Amino acid sequence: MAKNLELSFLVEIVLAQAGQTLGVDIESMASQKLAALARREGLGDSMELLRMARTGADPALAAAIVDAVLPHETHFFRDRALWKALRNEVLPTILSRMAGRSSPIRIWSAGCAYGQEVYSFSMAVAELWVNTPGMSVEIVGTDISERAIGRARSGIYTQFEVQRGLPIQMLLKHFEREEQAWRINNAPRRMTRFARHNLLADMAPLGMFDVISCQQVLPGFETAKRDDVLSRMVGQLNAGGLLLVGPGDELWSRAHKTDLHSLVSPWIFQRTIVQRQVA
Amino acid sequence: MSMGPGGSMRKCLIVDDSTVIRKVARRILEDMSFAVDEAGDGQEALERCRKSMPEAILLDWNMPVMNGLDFLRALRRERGGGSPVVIFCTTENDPVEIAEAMRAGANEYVMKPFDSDIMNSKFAEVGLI
Repeated sequence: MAKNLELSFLVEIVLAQAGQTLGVDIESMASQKLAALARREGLGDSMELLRMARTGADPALAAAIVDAVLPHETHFFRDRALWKALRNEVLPTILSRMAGRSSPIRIWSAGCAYGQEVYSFSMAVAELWVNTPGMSVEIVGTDISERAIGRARSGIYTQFEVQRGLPIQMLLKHFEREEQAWRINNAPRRMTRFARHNLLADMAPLGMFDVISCQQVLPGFETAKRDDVLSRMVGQLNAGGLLLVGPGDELWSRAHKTDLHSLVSPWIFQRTIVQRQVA
Repeated sequence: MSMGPGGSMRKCLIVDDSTVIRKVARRILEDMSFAVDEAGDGQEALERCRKSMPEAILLDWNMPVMNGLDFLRALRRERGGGSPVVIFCTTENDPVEIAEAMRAGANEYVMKPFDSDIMNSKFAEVGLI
């Protein structure tokens, strides 16, 4: 019974703080993902940790719990088909269309976890750069987790991480070895900026974007919150800007058909050129 | 699933002097639907290639008799030796050495230790799955 109270509390704080729903077998997930945090806090196990957080004495503890249970798994150039379309068609088109624009081309990786997608964009842009000199590109990575953003900002990845999705020639070109890890070079790094941001919060301070990528983030949201996030995200897209979603997310995105139309692949949407009227 | 043009399973030759590594790599590659053959050094691998050229070669660097780099250079000079996709799989992780392997004709490079995610990623990168 007490255990049910702790697990309900976990479901509640994850929904309230991150808008995410937890899957089945929450007890086993909690025991696996919260064990390390419980140890760091000097507590016996995940249930004891949740019991402590439920007292409300330490709000930071609840935030740390939410951070620990949210997924941060990602890799470079995740979804090969999407990146093939981006590198061969979409990004070259955008770069040439916007050549000569005085303001920078802005790309947002929403829910960027450890930043692999942000650097995938910066490496892809750097490789196309030679044909579009003088262009300014800013790639913004945001995540709800301060810990994830810290790692993303460091630009340092383990040997395992750099071998998932990253071709060896790109590793040689854009990274330097640092002891047993690999650090992204300055050229692709200069285009990037990272900030902690909760997708449930106001997106306006982030500014407007030409490309917004939201991969593998939407499925975790509770339905009403997902629709709200998607709708506000579309609002941050410049007219003609692109929304990139993950496989499976296209159904939800299609619901915004007055604002978006499918382009190149089922997971790449373009915002219609006519801006929506603000009420 | 890795199938050749005629619908037959693609063949991958694992070249490594460690039986443990060969066993682990074989399990992963068989799960990826490759027909797997093994060789314990570069010389043995070259003889196998002369009999039947595989579609892919997973190649260690430091081996007795003939090392991976010498094997790769010899392979690329053989008749039909330009066709196999060669993925180095070694503990060598210095960028200078990796670049040397690529110049010698490797198509991709795996730094040990590896797991099935890395193998899948690298074989997909070279278009074999």
